[in-house]
Amino acid sequence: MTYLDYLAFSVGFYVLLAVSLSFPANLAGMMVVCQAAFCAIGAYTAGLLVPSLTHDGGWVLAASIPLGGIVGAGAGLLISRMRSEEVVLATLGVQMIASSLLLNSSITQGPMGIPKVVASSWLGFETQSDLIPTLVCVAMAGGAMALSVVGRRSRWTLSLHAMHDDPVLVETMGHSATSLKIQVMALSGAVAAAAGTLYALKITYIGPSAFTVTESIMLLTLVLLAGKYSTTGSAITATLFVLLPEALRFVGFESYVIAHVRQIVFGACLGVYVAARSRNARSHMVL
Amino acid sequence: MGHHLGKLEVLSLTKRFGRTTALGGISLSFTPSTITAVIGPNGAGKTVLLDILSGLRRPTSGHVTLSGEDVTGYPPSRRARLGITRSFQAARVFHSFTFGQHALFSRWLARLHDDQESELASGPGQSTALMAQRLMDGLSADLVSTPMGELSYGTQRMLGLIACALSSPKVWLVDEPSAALDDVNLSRVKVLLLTARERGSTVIVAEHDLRLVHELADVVVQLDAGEVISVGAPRDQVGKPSIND
Repeated sequence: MTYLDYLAFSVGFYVLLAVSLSFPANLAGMMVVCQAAFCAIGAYTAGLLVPSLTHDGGWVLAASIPLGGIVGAGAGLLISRMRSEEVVLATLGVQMIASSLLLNSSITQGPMGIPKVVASSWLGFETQSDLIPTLVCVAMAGGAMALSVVGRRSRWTLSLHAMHDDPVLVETMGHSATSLKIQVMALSGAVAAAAGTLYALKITYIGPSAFTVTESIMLLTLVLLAGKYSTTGSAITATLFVLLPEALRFVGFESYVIAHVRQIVFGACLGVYVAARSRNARSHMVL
Repeated sequence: MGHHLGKLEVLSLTKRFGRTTALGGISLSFTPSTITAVIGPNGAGKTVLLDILSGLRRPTSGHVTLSGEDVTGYPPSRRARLGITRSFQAARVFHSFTFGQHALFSRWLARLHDDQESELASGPGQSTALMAQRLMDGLSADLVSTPMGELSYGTQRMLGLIACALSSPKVWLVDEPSAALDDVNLSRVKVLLLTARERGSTVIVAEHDLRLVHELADVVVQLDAGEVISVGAPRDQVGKPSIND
């Protein structure tokens, strides 16, 4: 894998995940902390299918997307009657259960993970190129972005915005908030699972350490930094999250330093964001 | 006009919160083309009754029927699709929406969006939605295009009521229409309520302002401690000492 390939895949992967989370978090105001678990569903679907049942990346992707959608819908049903703080806790619980299962189940091969997740064909076309997952990932990220931009004035998106503002009012106006939450979580789970599948096929190894609660919190923070209703902003913050630390390579930092700097930059961004929001809230106070 | 008719009835409706009885087995009938005012002191059960009628609360026992259909177990969204619209005592609007967006959303949910223009142009008489549209047209462009979260509380309330009217409600449940409204906005709301009645809607208003009750209501239901004290015409009810206290 070349450096540019790695960079393109990382940007596509994080954009796809950020967009998947921005549907419930940015558009509908649901603070979901289990996106890494949805991603793991896709990754482990690939890990379990590829060596034994198929070597075709396209079919694995086709299997993981509906599976992620079903699990997402289930999570949506679970949190459909909850208030925002309860949604955080419940999805955190889902993430912790998923992490525990990945770490301790024999099916997922516990902490050892699953190696050699290599697709030797895509929709029937034989190819050994490891560029395919990158191309598919970037194309899907672009497609998800385009859909969210085109659909931002759609009735469905308007309904999600309305639910963000006042779910009770949405209900009394004739739209089922429960149904909306299930739909948006199903979409989120499906897109995140697709990202997970592509990750597994790109890296060719999956282990539980890639899908921890830390990843979920980091993703939620990326999306919150983008601001309310902004799917495009989520994609931009995800891109910056990948590219900014990479810039440090060109000023002489070692790889192991970059990971730490990423966290420091991230923490600083969070501090600035919260301070800005707090100042904004104070400016609206009536004394 | 037939689809606007909605007779709403409650039968032996009881609601308890722990040991407190909010509604104690009341039975009432609300007829179309009528404004029914539900009055009573704080804690009488007025808002709880509206909550149960709109589906926001489930009764402990008893039934709610709309044109003969038992809707007791229906969630608020399903009742809204049957034509039951709820306005709240507090200003409940979508804060990030402009009123224009809110109105569009309201019409869409009422499945009027696609044929709104034709209904407005050719509907029999002055429909509630048409009157709401006229009121909306009379608002300043700034008011219609400003996010509602930035508007004053009273304006939010008035716009919320107009948005409800845009959905051409079959049954309109209105909690304290006079709360936080100045005279100009209150007169707009009165026009809407009277138009809804003329249009054949069943209008149920929970209200403290007895002058407004006297002005608008055809029937007054007096509640106290979850019990129906009296039902009758406003001139027979409003003079009673228990109401005027």
